[in-house]
Amino acid sequence: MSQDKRRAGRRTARSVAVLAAGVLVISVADAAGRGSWPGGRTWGIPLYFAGEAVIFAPLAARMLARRAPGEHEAAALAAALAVATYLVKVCYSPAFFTFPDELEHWRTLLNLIATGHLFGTNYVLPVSPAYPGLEIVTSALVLLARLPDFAAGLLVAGLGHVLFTVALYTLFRMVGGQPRIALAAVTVYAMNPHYQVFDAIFGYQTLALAFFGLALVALRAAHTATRAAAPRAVVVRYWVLAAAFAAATVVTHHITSYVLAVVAVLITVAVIARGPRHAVHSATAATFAVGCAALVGLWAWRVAPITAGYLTPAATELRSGVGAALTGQITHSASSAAAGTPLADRIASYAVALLIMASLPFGWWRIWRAQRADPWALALGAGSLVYYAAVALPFLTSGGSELAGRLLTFGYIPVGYTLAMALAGLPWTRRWRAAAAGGAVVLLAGGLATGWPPWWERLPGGYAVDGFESGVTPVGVAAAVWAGNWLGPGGRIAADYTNNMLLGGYGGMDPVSDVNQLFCGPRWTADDALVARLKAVVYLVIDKRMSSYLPPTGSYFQNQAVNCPAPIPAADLDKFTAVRGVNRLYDSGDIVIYGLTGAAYAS
Amino acid sequence: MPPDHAPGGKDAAGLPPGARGAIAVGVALAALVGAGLVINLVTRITIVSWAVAVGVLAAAAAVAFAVPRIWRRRAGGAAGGSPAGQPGKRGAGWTWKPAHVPSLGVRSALPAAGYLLLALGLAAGAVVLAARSAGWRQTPGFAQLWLVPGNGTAVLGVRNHYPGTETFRLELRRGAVPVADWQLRLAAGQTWRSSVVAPAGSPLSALLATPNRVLTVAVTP
Repeated sequence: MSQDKRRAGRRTARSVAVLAAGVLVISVADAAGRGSWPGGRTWGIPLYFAGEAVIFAPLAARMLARRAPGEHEAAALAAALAVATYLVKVCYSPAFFTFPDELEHWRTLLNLIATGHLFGTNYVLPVSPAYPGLEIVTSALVLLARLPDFAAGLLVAGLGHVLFTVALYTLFRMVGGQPRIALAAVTVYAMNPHYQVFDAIFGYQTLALAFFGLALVALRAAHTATRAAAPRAVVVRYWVLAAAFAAATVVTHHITSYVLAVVAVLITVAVIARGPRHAVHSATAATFAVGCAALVGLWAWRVAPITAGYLTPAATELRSGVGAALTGQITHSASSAAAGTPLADRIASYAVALLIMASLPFGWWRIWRAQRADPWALALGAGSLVYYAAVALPFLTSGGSELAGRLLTFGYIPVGYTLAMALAGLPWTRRWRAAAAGGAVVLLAGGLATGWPPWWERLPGGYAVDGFESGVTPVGVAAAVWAGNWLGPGGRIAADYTNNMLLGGYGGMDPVSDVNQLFCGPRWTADDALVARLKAVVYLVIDKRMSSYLPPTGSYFQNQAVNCPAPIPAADLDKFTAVRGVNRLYDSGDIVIYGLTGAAYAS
Repeated sequence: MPPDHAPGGKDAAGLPPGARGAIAVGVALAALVGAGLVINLVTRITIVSWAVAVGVLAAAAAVAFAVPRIWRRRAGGAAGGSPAGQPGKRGAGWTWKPAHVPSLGVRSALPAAGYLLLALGLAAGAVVLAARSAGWRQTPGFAQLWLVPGNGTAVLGVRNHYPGTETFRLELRRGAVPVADWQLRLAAGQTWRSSVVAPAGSPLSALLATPNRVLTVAVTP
């Protein structure tokens, strides 16, 4: 082994040890959030940010060093980053599924294992069984390796997270041509708000992203082999691989498969635009793109028609917001959730948006100068425009912040590459390297500030009523398990957001939407009885903590069309006991479950 | 930016070294997804059907891996000579040609191995700390009380979710009249149940006195 290789090996191993140290620092911060150490929830926050800085520091250092990272070193660091960031998510939730989306997919898995069949019914996320890729793979681990559901879910999600990161690194390496550019691009990507947690949970998008990334790699390899007139066997192999990964993506997640189809079409257009000399290449690219789009459409039509109903509300809201903006009628203002965001988080979110929007044009210029003959590089540069749309989304619709986060899962791919190319075009002086390091700090801080978990649950262990995972408590879990055992699956329930998730996940119950008004007001009215009958509500789940705590999201319920006062007066939550025909079936102090029996429950 | 060294080792499709491992894992996962869809069409997804499917996939992978290599070896043997380290045919007997085994360089790999071991220890420590501290949540204990009506009877139940053994006082009432009471001593996680007579139209209620509150349930079957 040469001296250089030995040094590179030592350097890489040392960097990996530093990443692991960062994970330990964050785990200490999480323990401080959970435990009884004095002031733990206060000093734990800066410790958490310090841990994140420790994780990303070795990558930033290698990106900005005079001596560029080698092939294996850069690839190893990218893989180590994926493992380290996944462990951060594991340390946040190490014992059982707590993220609402995880509960939803866990229900699909439980139903699959219980019935032995796919495409069953999941009341809490009806579209989930129509895209069963995640649950299929997890069920294999549960049944064959006899792993508990949670452990199997952790493994599959972790594998998906690492594979996706490695695939992205590989794609950036193939397009960018240099390990340093690929490492820089994947590091920027890893700073996107959803990378560390939301896109690494036990959810269908996590595994779909892995298939998506590998499909892009295979597609790029196929394009390269076709253009280079490689041996037929090689060319066919990569097109078949691309098709296989595309099919796996289609079966696993709707939006990811749509994005893949759009990317395939855009690349095809870019290839065709290169001229008639590349007819064979254009024809194969077009065939793949059409096939991909056809598979997406076929699955949505024949297997998953429920997808349209699931995505339509968000699409409609977005269309209305864009239409209003185009006519100069922007009326949406910051939600009460955003109003409670700490000042430092808001400054970081503005700073990262400004930095990225200002830096992207330098990346476009660099791509045009150095890579305009490569349609993939042009597509990545053009794709980074989506970042500007993501920044505008929170101003267009009430759910714009969430939509922006979902969009940036894909948008940060071209953004990462474009910023890496901008970095490659910088004069390599000490001043510019220091500026680049400062930019990396802003990117990281902004990504964490706008990312998941939200600011009020940055450390685990605290309680926030209907505050996503921080609303999950042993009291709620116990009530959900009891309901599953004693009320039976499929019972229609009216509850607040967190209890809907728990009862749907643990209990297999059927949460009913748009029934918030049942919880408001001091009396059970004839209107309430009518709503309950029309919606066929069988059980009412009352969480009395809604009378003691304010919801950090601004509402106790998923649908905010009808909002009760916050906090809800305790007397309002106790009104059901006096209603004729309502049975008080369950009481654990904080949670009471009522059964509504037939037509008798009218005041 | 100073120029990187030239990339090396990429194949005709431009894949960098190491990418094939990721692709192989991805193919395995995609094959599982496909196998699951097929199993669902043919039978039920169970441990047996998965075992058969994974066996078939493994056999197919072994064949796909082995056939090209056997083919190449036969083609290489027909061209004359034999690869180093392989038995070669000379005249009536077989001869052995020693293969070149590169030096492992163990001593020079020690510092890197040490750092990797350190990384493993730090990561394991982080996960262990997280798992241990997950039980440190500062929530008070609680109890569950339920009364679920059935056909002429109702099930009255109590479960202890306090950290230790607790004594609860439970009272059952028919209308406003107490008809039964119990002193329940339950260990942490223990459940008590009893079936009570519940005629239709006769209101039943129960009160449970816990260390920090009184729980109530009430039904009219």
